[in-house]
Amino acid sequence: MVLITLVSSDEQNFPVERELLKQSGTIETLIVNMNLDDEDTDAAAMPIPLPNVKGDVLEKVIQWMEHHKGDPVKEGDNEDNNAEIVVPQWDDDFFKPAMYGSKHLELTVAASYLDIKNLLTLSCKAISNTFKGKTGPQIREEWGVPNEFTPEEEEAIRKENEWSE
Amino acid sequence: MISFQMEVNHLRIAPLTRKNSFPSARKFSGLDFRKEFKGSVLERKAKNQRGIISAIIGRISDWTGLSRKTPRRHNLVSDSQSDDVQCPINEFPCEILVEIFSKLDRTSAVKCREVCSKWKVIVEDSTSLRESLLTTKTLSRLCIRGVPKKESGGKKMVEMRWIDYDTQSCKAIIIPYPLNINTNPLFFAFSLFEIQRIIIQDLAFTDEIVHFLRTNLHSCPSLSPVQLTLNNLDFSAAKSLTLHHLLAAVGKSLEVIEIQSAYGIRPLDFTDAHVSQLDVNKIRRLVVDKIRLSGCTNRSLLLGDHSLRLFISANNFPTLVLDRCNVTTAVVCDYSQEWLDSAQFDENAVHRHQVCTVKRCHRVKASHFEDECSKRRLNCRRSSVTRTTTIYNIQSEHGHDEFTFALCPVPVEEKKEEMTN
Repeated sequence: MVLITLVSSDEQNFPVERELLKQSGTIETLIVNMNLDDEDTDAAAMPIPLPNVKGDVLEKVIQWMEHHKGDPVKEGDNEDNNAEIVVPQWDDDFFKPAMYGSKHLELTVAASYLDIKNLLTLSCKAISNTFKGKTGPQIREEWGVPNEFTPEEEEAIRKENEWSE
Repeated sequence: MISFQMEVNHLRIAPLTRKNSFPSARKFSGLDFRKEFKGSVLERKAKNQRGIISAIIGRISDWTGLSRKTPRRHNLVSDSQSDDVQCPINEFPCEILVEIFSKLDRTSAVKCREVCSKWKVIVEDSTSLRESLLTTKTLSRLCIRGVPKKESGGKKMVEMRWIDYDTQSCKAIIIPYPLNINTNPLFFAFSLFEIQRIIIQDLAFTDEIVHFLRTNLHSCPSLSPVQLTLNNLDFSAAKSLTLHHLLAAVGKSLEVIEIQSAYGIRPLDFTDAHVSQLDVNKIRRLVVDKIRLSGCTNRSLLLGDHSLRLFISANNFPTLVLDRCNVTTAVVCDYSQEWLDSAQFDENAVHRHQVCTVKRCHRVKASHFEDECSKRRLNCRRSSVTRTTTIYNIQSEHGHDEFTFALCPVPVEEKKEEMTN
């Protein structure tokens, strides 16, 4: 088992199985480009710095990748049936505790940065699930988004939305 | 060292999967480039350049007690203070918000416009959302109707209703009159519409309405309506240019144009010049009916022989209804003759039939009509005569085709007036 060390922004080291990192487009590209798979290279001696990912977030990401080890990685964008993606129970429980806070946000941004498509998709889907069947003001309240509209503007947007359906 | 920093910051601002989601990023402040600017290399550069000056200003403002707000840093991931962020979801880069919205169904995605202006802009402008979720909807009809005061409870309102024949659905929005593009823009709705027919009725036909309509229609991804109907409109505030402006936007694709029950209309409001804005090859039906001209009664719209000759030269013969127009007997006969001639080259059409109705046109007279027909060797037969209408069936010498010509003479009272004048 080959281990590769990832270094988070706060300089914590995370030795991770080579196999797991296939899920991350960014790291996979890096490994391939730098020939870290080459037997002669000492992979452990070449830690990969991830200056955009904090330790606790990276830990979460690795935890997620471990659970999803061996899942097929999607190729390219498939935007056909985005609305029908189902978030598995395990992932739901995994995301839920931090859903409305900035931890989930950081996880999602990290997924985007590390190009872990499945994680990004599920994480976004989990967020979008909280919007379903809610009105604008309800979403605003739930997520703590400040209201920038006057009542008239809000009414006009709502009417136009209904009309454009 | 510097180049490394720049690279890191670049990555932070633009994650690798970035698509060009905002080609038309504009107008609203909600896009907030300032946020991205804050804490970025660019800001630091700018600060260094203006360092001394801003330090002095800072000191002065400290001294005067006008303390400047310290900008909050917006580094998303490595910022150790990000737990304090009050609204984490709006700290997301736009790409990720698009990613989130794209997981919704159409209705919910549209609802997200109501949350805040940043979301509004993202939903409106994202090309990837347009491709996947917010696809264009075809409207069979768009009806713009003045709501009578009785129905709207005293206030003047306008109902805009779309009808979709395929799904048998319709939906209306009621907006206050006069239509104001600044307070009631419907750009987003229109940007989802492809409109086939436009019907405007029970309103005053004014520059404001045309402006409102044109500006909204401008957001349509493709604008090629086949029909324009103006029904029961008050033209008294309209100018010749009012209809010109509307036709400039929609005229070239029209196949049917109808002006019915227009009142307060003046001779210059619908003329040959308006017809020449249309594509004469496309028009299948041109209707001007139940016109009430303002002022003296014996005038007519300046729509006449020139338009008919345009159709003749394009070898396209729409069904015509011309009420109070400026056509002459000779050209109307030319029109029917040319139509009959055009039929001879068309072997597929065995029994063709075309109708032309000419009402209350001063320069078309029944007595002349039959003479003109016989001059052209057209077989003209009076098929029915009522008090108000005479119907002629015209056939060429050999053909099976029939051109029906309905003629309503100018009412007798008006003729008398004319005589006395």
